[in-house]
Amino acid sequence: MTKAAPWTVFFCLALWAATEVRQRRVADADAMYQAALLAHRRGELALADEAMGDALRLAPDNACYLAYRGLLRHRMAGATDAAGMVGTGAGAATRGGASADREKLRAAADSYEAALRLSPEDGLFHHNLGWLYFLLGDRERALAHLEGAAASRLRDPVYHVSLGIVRERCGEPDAAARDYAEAVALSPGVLGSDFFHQLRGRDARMAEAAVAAAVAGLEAELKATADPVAKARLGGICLDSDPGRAFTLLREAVEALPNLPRAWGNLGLLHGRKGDFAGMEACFRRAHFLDGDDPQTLLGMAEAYEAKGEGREAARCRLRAEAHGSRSHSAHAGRLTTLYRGVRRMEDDDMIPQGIWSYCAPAKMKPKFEAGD
Amino acid sequence: MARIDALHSWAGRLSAPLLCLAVFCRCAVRGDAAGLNLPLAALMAGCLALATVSGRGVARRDGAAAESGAMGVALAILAGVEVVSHLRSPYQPNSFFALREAASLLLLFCFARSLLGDAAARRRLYLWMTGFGAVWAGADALRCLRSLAELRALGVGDLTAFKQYFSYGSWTTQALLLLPYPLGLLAGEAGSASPPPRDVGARRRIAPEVVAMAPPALVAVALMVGTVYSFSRGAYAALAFFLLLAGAGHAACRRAPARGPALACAAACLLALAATPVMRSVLGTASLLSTASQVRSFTARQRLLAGALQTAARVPAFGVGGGNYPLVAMAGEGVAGAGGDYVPTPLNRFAATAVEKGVAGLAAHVGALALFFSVSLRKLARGRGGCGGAPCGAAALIPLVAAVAAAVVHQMSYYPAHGDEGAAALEWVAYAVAASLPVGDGGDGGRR
Repeated sequence: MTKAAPWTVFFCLALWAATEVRQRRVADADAMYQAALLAHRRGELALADEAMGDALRLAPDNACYLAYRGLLRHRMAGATDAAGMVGTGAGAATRGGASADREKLRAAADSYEAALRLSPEDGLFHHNLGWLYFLLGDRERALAHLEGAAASRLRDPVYHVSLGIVRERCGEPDAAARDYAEAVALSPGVLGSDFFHQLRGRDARMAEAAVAAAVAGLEAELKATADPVAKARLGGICLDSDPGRAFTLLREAVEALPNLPRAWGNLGLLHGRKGDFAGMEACFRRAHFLDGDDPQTLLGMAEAYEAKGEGREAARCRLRAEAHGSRSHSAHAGRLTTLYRGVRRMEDDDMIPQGIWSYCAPAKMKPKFEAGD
Repeated sequence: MARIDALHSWAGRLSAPLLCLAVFCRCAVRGDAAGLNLPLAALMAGCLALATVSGRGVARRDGAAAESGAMGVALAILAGVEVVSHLRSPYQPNSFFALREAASLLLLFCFARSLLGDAAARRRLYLWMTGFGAVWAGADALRCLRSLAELRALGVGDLTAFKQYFSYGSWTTQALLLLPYPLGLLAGEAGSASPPPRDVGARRRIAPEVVAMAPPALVAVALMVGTVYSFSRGAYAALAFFLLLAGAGHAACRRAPARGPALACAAACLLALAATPVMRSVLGTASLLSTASQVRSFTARQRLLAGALQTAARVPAFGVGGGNYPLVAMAGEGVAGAGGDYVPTPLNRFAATAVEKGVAGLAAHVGALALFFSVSLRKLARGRGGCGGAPCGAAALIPLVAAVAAAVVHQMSYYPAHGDEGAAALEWVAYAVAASLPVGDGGDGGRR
């Protein structure tokens, strides 16, 4: 061992001890965060806010904690949920903001501003802050942050839907249609959501324009790249309007890239519509193998089993679909532990306005949940 | 003094299982469990302090002092760069985890270096790590068989698009870094075998040697076959690189390949060839760009690497801080995946280091690796083997060097977000073991 070696050991022990001491503080902050999550789930929002105050005193530089405090304050403000804000006619969103506690909304916005100073690229923070500014009546800042969210690499269709809703409210229908088209092209499942259903009822031309723009965009992408994912998405959009084309596109997509669960699920649906229940079951089985947590796939399997007269298996699939559906979470919540180390998942619904994630998701599951089936 | 001696001897006996347990925990626990379990780490720190204070670190007694000290200093500098990178990080909650990990790795290295210098301790470590490799390979085999059965039931012929159901990328890196331990045992056993006498009792004396060689040979084969079943091009390239480097190393040292490792490699190749049900998928993987999935994956990696290099050019000298790449990647300028989707890692170890730790971190990182290879090559240049059963000499050092090089090759095409804790632990232990291995005239110096 050279002369340097004992110093290496000393440095090693000192560094390890220092990080362990700091780790105690991080663990204490995490314990307070856990307490806040527990209180939130019990509906004790004031207690949760207090616990988050303690967590932030121990870890003031944690963007995730700041964002969670912002979310809590928004929930405490009593703003209307997503469906209520968007679906009840023009000006509903502003009314939703007016009925809320503006002081709390302002405090929530301050928390998100602080979180964004620490993590300036986070799409969800921009998205939530955009909605908070919209509720506070600051449309310019709202649009700026929602555009920031839509530009984020996270590519969540909900960000585009939110931007479209706010633009629609600001009297920019063409721009709104483009944002909706982006959302549909990213996730054709949006077409089956409550949001799109209400959009069709509210402005059928805008809805059709959004679908047409999404199809045109994906067709242009296909001409340039022949990307199987683009084929699968286009097939998903054409599922109801042009089943023959959808079948061809989906078939080509899964032949080129056989690990696309949603494409297999959509192909299963088309087989079912043709009365080919064996083909339907085979497709859903593959989709289930690839993504065992997708409630839509489980429901498809249940339908296939029902067609075969296997009621018990069908019931089991439905139960599992409901269990997975009730645990569904936003895209950001699913990535939280990758983005922010040491932070456990916060609320599954971490978006503002409340419920916008499920509002933009395929609505097939909802009636059964509400009935407590 | 007698008490210190007794304590030191006790700590020496504990060192191999402790080290193996620490590495196992880091490989098995994924996610945010950065660093070591506190009681385990405290015990290791205590043993290390005792060895240092009593001046009985066994490394003091072996011949390769200056080189191993330099390795320690290089790794301490690497940890020091991590400290500066953390202090300058724009988002410290993430970089703190990277700092804690670096502290744990340095503790692992110092612990291994101080307490695993003698042949007995080294043999214990090799045995424990071989056992760990057996558990790892067994768990992987079960997963492979289950996935294979499910995919067969679904009528899937080409398995390359489903590779994530067979093996995780991190597993492959860890398997490569576990390979030197069974191979080292084989080399030790092969070296220890005295020429069989030609009398009647010869058969009786050969049998125990064969029996002793069978378990490590099986573990080595299982780890290699597991790597073949990953259906990953990066894993195949890494395994080929390992075999090539190990073969070249043996040839350069003018040694005939040790019988055990050669048998293990041959058996692995035969098994892979015999595995006809997956032969199509193996050939598909080896053909590199034959499926749409492979083309997408290759294009995405190219884009990610280019984007990460662009980002690295913009970051300060100490980078954006460990663990912050996923946050930077959200900005999306040039870091998109195949479909422009969000990917929280550049999938390349050096690109990730360049972004997270900057030029300084990359230089320290590359410097430590270069020092490891240069120290090992210098040892090999003057080496000779044969240590009567204990892994030592060129025959044990060559697989370690080849494994670290192969792991680096694999990490050029697969590197998870926040790094691979298990592979990093195995790599730093490999540094320590390589530094401890006596190579050269005198071998183990009769300390067995």
